[in-house]
Amino acid sequence: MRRKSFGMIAVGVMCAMLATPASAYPSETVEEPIRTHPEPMEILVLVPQIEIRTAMNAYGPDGGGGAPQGGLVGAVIAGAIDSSRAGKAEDRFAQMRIAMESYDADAVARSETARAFSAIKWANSAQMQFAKDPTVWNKIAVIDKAKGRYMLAVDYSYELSADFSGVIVYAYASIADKLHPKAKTPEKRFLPERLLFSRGTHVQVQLPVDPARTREDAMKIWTKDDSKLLKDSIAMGLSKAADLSARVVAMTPAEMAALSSKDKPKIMLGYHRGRLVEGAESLSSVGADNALLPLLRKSAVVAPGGAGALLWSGLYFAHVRTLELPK
Amino acid sequence: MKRNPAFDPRHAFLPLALVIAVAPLHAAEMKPVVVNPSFAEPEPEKPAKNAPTPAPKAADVPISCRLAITSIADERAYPDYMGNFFDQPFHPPVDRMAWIKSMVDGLEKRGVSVKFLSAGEGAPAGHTPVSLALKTAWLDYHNGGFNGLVRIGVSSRDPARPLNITARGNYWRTLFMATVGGRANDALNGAVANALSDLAEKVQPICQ
Repeated sequence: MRRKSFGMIAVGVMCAMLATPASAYPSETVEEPIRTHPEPMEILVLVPQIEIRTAMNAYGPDGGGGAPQGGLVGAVIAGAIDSSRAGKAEDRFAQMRIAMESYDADAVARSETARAFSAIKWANSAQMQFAKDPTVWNKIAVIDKAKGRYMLAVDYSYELSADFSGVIVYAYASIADKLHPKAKTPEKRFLPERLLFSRGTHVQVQLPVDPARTREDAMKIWTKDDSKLLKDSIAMGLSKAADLSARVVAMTPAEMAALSSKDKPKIMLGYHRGRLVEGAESLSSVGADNALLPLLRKSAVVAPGGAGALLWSGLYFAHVRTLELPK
Repeated sequence: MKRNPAFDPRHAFLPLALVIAVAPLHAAEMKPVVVNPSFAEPEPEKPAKNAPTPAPKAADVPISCRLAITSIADERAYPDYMGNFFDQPFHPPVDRMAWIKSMVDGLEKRGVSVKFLSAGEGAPAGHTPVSLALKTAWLDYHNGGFNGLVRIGVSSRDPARPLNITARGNYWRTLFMATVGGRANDALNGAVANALSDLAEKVQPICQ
């Protein structure tokens, strides 16, 4: 009986997979009907947080730290260990949040998105919308009021890495169609397979490598002079994330193919693996010419002070820049 | 009764049970969450295994400060929105004033007596008149848990005892083996409790 029940489940799963053809998923680049539509695409900027986050959690020897964990895996790990330890890890981060209370990341995200998308004529960067609420219900409200048919949502988030060594900014750009023929209910226009385009971007602005630096040392560096370095780094990250989001939205199929051309060396950059697009001159010590790097899964090191290195993973851009600290 | 060998209804039990188990989750997936209408003190954390026997619970802090609240305001930048869990938005309760008052009532436990004045009513003797505003109440889902943030502003126009402070509190709760609404409320209550403790400390300069 058991064998037959599992058989039925397996058949059900296969049917569900077959019911969603691969062609239903977003295209790799923004297609012509969006670029040539008479009404420019609406832009919605989302920053669904009011404080800096941290990738730190209770996983680690000192009750806060260790490898960054996220999503379901993070939830399971965080739940399996004593939750009060996680709370204490967050408490230690509180002074960083207090130091950043006056910082307005929303304003930076808005202005940088407007600047970055102003070069795209088929996107309405002059009259951008801004919201904190990233849920599908808010997106429905915005797209239904939009003049045009298409809406681009750029969803930003920023956080401090688990060891406090860098600021990480994520941006996720997605385009929805107000009149999607296959969306039977309003919210189904925002299902991943109904989006016309979606791409993520990862930007990291980090302190120079120093194995002896503790989390407390890093916190002192970031919060010195009214947290100037931390504020500047978040602004730098948001600006780069906006630039790369605009770049990936405007990209043609030929430009996309060029990113994966074999003349670009494969490297590891932080946790990202892909082809080096820009910034070969910024890589120090283990460089882009080391063919074993991706095999060893050892990250290239970005030299302090430069413009940083840009990697194309095949799905998203990852940019890493190292700050030069004043002596 | 002789069963049809080609189909045994028992074979449908497991898939059916799965569908029944998952259906409510799917239905609840995008339902907005309205936080509890009033603040409740968070439960004390359970002691760790092999921890020494905890000391008997201390009595509430004696009253060292008396405030008369002349006005209460909800000054949150996003009045109808408090954060989200994927596509589930969090909303504040309908009666905002009762909600904020319930938070302020928690000051009593922290050594600050509070009296709410009605319009035109003067502050009783021994009470410092102050106005109070809820500036932030936010739930951020990140790293498998909710981080609550509450900021409460208190100001006094009394020239003899001027004050303009903002108290804040964060509180993190994991979402392991719990409901979204339950843990979101826990995180918010914890953040309110921490903000009230911060407030009780910061109002001391104007206490009589």
